[in-house]
Amino acid sequence: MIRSKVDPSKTGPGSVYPGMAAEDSFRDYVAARLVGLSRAAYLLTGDRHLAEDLVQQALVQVASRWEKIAAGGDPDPYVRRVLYHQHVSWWRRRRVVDRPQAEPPDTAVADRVSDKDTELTVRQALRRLTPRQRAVLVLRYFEDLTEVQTAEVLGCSVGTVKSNTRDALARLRATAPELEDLRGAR
Amino acid sequence: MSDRLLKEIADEMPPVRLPDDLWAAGRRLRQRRRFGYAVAAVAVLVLVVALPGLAAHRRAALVPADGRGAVPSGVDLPHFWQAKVGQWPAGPGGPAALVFYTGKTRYFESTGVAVGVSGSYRLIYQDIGEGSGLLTPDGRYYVRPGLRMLDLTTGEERQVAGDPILGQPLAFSPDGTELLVGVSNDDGVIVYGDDAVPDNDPDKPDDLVAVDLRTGARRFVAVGRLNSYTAAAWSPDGTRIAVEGPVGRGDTGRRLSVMDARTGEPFWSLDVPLTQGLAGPGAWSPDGRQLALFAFDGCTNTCDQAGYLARSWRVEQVDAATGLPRGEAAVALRGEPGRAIGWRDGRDLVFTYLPDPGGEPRTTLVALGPAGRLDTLVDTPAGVSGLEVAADLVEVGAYGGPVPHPSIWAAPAWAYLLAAAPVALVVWIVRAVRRRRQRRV
Repeated sequence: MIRSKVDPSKTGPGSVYPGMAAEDSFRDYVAARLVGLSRAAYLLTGDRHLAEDLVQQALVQVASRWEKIAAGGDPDPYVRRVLYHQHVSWWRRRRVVDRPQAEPPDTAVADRVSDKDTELTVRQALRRLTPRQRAVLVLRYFEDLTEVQTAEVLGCSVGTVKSNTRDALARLRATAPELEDLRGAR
Repeated sequence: MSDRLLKEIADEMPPVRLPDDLWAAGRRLRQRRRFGYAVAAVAVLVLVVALPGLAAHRRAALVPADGRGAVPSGVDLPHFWQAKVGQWPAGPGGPAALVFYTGKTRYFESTGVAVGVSGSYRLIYQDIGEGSGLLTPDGRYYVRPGLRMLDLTTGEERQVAGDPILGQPLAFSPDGTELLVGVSNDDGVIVYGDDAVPDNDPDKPDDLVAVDLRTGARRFVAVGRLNSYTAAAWSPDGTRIAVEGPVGRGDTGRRLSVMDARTGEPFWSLDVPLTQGLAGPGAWSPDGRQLALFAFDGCTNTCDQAGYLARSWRVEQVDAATGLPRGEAAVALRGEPGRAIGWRDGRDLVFTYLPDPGGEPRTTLVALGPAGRLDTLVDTPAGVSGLEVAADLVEVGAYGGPVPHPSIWAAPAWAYLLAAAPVALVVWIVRAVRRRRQRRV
């Protein structure tokens, strides 16, 4: 999750990092958000290497405009926009080629053995969604954003978010009935 | 399952490893972006500054409010990449106000340049050894030797109906329908004159043919009579034709004659010295009473450079009814006259003119005013070696049009590709480098 704030002591009027050198404040922000950004990227791309590339490129973009972003207050909305737009842009430019699925990480949770099959199914189902549909699902159900917030991040209307969500869930249900209870989510 | 399942899948992802120069990469990106903005701003600025100029250039056509057009008061040399008549995507330049010849083109040989009444510049490629053609009175066609008609409004070229005529176009009839052509009857063997200069075979005199450009019909006006026809002029009413050409073995004599335009019956013929000749297709005065001749003092056939430059030229007038001098004093010229094009205000002979025969070739259009004053009607840059002017514009005295400048955009497609290639290469390199950096990051 990337919604947590950095050290609240660093927030202040006009900037979340008043008085700090730009590079230091950027490093602080990245350190605080990296885990959440990495996970969101992983859900978006379904591939660890692509997720790594996505996060790195997004952060380079953020670094190139950091002073303005930091001066505007909370950097999260902008960073999120960069990440998700970058992802969709990759897909449009067909930069994302099919890669062999990465090996399951060594840090797999031990007591999730029973859920392994379900996770595999879900992963495969996610892979069948369009980038925009994946983005909508990740924003809504992983980042817990409202439809309005999701629309702001993706730069589209709330109606588009709703239709994308509906289509994504329909497709997921078709391939992964285990996700039936997602219907009741916000 | 649901949100939890997504979170559990996400938990598999360890924090991304970030390069040490992440911040520096962002700074570099910012610099590149700012550079791009600067380039774009400059490009926009250039466009904003240049567009009104370009638009004004387009508006600077030679067509005044009455829509009739005018002979421009000057011309420029065409750009190296100037399109030919009809060449895509520039297209044809429309009816021409004039055609001039210059070797300062990408062909490095004498090339015709049609200057449209709209201010356009288009090249007319000339084959090796091809002589000058004639511009039809309305400026729509350029007629090449061999009677190939280049339509300046479409770029299409067609052969006048019938067998090709190997001869030099000489003069259009006043109504523009017929063209006088001197048809060579010499065989392929060169006949050498007494001075070892190749000349026309006096045993095979040429014919004078009037060709109807609309139908290709040919009418023999005169058969034989002259070794060749070097100049011709129609009377303004179209009833008489004045011709001039060499006679005798070795082209040692010259004959001037006026004949009936329909029957070819000569009204009079005069043998004149080699130093005298009909001024050109515009030699006949508008009132039909006099003919203009160009004459010079100096060396004739065997002429070295110094002798050639030492010639002194003058304009003479003879009675069109008799061929005899009218008693008016000849007007001396400092430079060398070319061909008479017409008359200004019914009084002043208009002709092409080499103001400085000893210098770099430059042919202008001048009018011989009262007291021998020469008024330059069309000024040209050095390198212009000949001029043709649409007779309709000359007839109405429409001179002094604005000087058109050749458009840099009137270029063939290959010029655009050539210009775009370096830009495309730079863009490709920049994108390739950027992609590589992004992958590295």
